[in-house]
Amino acid sequence: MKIRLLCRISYFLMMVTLLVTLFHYSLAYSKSFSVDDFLDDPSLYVGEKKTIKGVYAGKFEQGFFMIKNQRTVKVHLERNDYVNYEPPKYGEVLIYGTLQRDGSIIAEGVHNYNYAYISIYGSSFLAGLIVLFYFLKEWKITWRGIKSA
Amino acid sequence: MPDWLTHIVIALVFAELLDVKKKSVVLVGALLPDLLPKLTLLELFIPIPNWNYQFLDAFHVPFVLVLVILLIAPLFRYKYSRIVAWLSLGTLTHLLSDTLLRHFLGGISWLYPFTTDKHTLNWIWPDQSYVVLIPALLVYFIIILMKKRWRKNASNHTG
Repeated sequence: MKIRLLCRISYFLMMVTLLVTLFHYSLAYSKSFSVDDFLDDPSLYVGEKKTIKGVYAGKFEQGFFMIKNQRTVKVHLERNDYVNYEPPKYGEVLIYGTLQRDGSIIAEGVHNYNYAYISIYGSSFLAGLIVLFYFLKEWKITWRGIKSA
Repeated sequence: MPDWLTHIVIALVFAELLDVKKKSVVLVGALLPDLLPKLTLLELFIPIPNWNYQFLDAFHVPFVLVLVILLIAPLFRYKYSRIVAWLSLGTLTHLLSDTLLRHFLGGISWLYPFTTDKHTLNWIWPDQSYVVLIPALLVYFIIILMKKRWRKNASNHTG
């Protein structure tokens, strides 16, 4: 009886610790960045260096557009980069750069996730199915918990 | 690695090496760090509300994962210590392989809550995880073959 009570108290304390940690983690990164915030008021973020991953959406003279959370961001590249730049194949583009007052970004680094839709997302979906299959083969989910099959 | 296939193959290698009885628990552990943080990928298909999603990223932090494992392990009607060990093994393989990844910014907060610094070896880009996947698959099949041979030899000796 005492052991059961002790287990319940420990469980409750772990839950509290988890909630406090999640709260602390959110606070520790309270200056979290989102493209939506940046596009709504770029002046708040001028000069900050950030990394953004999004979908390539066509190019202009000195760079390209990318879509992040259904919104378009203008990315300027250095001269040598935009002359040689090739858009990603079946994947997204990752940029690291400085945020500008006009809502654009001057990229200092660009990486194409070529074929990521297959090599990352497609294979992950497959892996998820494999794990689910394996799990349901070894375990039985009941109202009283997960039991060995 | 960002792709789950690489994560589960690495986890399977360790599960085979340590002769884990319920390998699926190790596999669940190997995907556990990505289950909640990757929800933000929904933005590829639909606009998601502009909230602070940092608390989801917290589930990719070792300290938080220890708590999560301790909390979800009682869901299994099995020996608690084994479930915790197997889930931890899978999670550890995930975090170690993610530490190999290259980023412009980012990494794993190995020392959180003592520091919010992120650590990474910056070796391979996430889309190049085949560099790890192919050798891991080879190692996995070699282990399976060797185990089969050992079992055969053992049964020959006893039989």
